[in-house]
Amino acid sequence: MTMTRRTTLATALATGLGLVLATPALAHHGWAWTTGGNIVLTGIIRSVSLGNPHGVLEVDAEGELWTVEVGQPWRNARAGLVDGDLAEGVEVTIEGEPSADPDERLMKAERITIAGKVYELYPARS
Amino acid sequence: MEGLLAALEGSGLATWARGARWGYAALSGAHVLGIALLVGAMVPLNLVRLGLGRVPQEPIARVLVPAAGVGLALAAATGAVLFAVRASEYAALAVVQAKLILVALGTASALVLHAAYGWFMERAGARRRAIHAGVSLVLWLMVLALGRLIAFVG
Repeated sequence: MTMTRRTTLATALATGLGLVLATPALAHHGWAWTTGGNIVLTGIIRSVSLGNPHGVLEVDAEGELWTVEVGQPWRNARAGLVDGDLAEGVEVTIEGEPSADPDERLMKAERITIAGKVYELYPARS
Repeated sequence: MEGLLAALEGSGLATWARGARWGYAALSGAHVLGIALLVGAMVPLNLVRLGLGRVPQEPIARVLVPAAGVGLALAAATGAVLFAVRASEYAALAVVQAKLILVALGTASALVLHAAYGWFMERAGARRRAIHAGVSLVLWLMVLALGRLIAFVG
């Protein structure tokens, strides 16, 4: 009984560790995972998933599909974005830092321009 | 499974938490409080069981076992809502899967052991107590580390 439980536990621990090591680096907390330099991406929003813990857009930039992390509800609201600003079909220009792995086509937005109006998600960052 | 995850995401509680500013902050805060209670009680309890300080185990267990239990309940309840906010995304993450497996194992083994040996492990021998203390220490610290990783690998 004890032996079985211990074996099960050991297997689970090993599995857990293996899973963690196999996880691709696809971070979103903070800025440690980005390049440190900004890029500007212009495209059409293809999908929107807003809300906590952070919002995500898929943006079609001339046929390349990028994943763009935007703010959580309070950050987007502070920037002046209202419901419907970030919607499918809207053309956006995003300035922010891309993931250090260029193949991911993933970036974190610092400011968003829609129809000439600039929305600052991170006013202190440039 | 996909249907269940979608239903969790679409639930009233998850929809509220996704859009709530202070509500989500309170939820995360309560989750951290649960973890603090659980780990903060579990570490000294298990170290005492492993022989640290050579103090009587029984009175220490009477304080720390309930504290760890309340912490686990709080962390699990708030964690369930935090998970539901993005259920399908979280369920696809290996760190989340590993964490949930370890939480289930830890909770099940705590319930089984306490049912068998008493709420304060008073019916277990010192050796058995020490073995399970070591397992508990490693397991819950792994849960803590995996939980923290979610914000960095999602």
